[in-house]
Amino acid sequence: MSDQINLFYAAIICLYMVVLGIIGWVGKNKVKSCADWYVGNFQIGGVVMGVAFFATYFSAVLIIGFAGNASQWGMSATVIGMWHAVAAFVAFAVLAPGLSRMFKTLNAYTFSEFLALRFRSQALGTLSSLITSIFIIPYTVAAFIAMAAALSLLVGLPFWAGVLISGTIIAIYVFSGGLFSVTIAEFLQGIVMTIAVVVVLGASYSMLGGVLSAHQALASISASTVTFPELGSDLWAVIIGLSAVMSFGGLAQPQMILRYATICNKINRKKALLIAVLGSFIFPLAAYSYGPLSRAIMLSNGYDVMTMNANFIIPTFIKTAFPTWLVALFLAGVLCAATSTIDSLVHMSSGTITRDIIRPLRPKMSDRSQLSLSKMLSLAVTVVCCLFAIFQPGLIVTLSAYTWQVLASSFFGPIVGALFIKRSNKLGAISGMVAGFAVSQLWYLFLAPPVTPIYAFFPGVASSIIVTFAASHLAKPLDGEFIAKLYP
Amino acid sequence: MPSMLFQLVAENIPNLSPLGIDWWIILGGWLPGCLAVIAAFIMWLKPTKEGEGDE
Repeated sequence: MSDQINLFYAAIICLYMVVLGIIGWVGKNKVKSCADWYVGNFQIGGVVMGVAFFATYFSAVLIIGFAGNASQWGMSATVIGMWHAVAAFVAFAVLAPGLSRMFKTLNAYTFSEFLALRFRSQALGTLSSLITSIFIIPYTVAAFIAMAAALSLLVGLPFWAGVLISGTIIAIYVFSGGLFSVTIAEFLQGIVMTIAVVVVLGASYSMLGGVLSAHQALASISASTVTFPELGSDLWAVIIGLSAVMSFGGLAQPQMILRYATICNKINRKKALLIAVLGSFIFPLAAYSYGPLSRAIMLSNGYDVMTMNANFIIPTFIKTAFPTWLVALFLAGVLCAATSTIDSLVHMSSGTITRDIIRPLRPKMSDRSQLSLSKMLSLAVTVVCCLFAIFQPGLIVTLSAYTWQVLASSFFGPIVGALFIKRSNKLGAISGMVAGFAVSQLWYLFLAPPVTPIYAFFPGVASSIIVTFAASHLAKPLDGEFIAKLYP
Repeated sequence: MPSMLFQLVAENIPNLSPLGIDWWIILGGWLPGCLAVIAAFIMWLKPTKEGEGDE
């Protein structure tokens, strides 16, 4: 019986690989130039991009890692999830109009290239590309760990085999189809993963006898599972900190910017806004709710989540509490959620290394050579992250929060400067980036919780914005004609 | 019976909403999330003027 079930799960994985292989092949036929591979030639529609946005935003990191931690934190974790919808609204309603216009005007294909062109500084582009490609690795590794943890517990594979399967799936279609394949795949993945988490949430409430009974069951374990943590406590710092980092921190992630800044059409942007906000409301609400509910259900099955490794709580919960069909649906959801984020990270980091680090050193590099190099680098990035996931596995939440804090602290100042401060220039952007990066690193090392209740995100982002603004006033503004073109 | 249980829980936990979770969770997270969804709907419903499509 157990072998039959494992065969069933293996069939789901194979089917998934075939579907992605087809998407990769379709994408390959569409990719004729670098613009196609990097930004889908600015032609990707609003509905597809809206789903791709939240599919990139939320991954197995959330439905396995953060939901696992939420089972220990209680229902207050839903606060973290709800702010994602606010962040999605800000992304499409406030930032996207200006950013997409500038991306197209400057003909920028990557976030670092955008900064280099906007502030007329190749050094800035190269520096931001280095920060991105190095510090995106912990987050990519976290997504691989989440996917492999689910595969190993649900299917019974060794952890390393789970990582290798994840890597192979990613390599298939990112290599071939670039942003076309990635967004088409993310559209399908976003739908499947949302269905999976919503069904798990519904089934969890149903098992506990409805919404009110479920919350009462949690309260009977501990009052802290249904209350907001005490002001200044360790958990309070975690909830407040992660609410900011995982929502507003996401706005400055280069892979997210490539989603909301490459729609150059108002009608499409409106569609993307609605879908992205709805997805960013439903998906995290479900994941951050079934996490805490798993505590009550698992307790009745003899498991105490407070003594478990958070990475493995949700896979254990799904496997022990639900029937095979729901385990299979959740497995499909995990595959979709993990690959939809990893693909965008691999696509973005290989793109930025080629375009913003290697190309400036070899200016005569042809379009075709850049495309080939980007594809080869996407394979290399996948292999490196798989090796880290196998040999240096860490706690998913720690790795993810670290990446988001470093990237947000480095890039928030230059983004705000580029969009809202006409006077901002090369000196301001480089100073803001370096200040945000340095402050977040130092804070992370010496002052992060539990030493103080404040996450590195807050001083990092504040210093990045303030220094960008202040330093921009110490040097000449960019020439008026160029600025007029960017701010019509 | 469920109402009695709720009353028992409510007596021991201050700030409990009718959903059985702390009001601070609802005001601090669920409310802003719902407002974002409503705002997105309003922007989506707002008609786009002629010639505003392409940029």
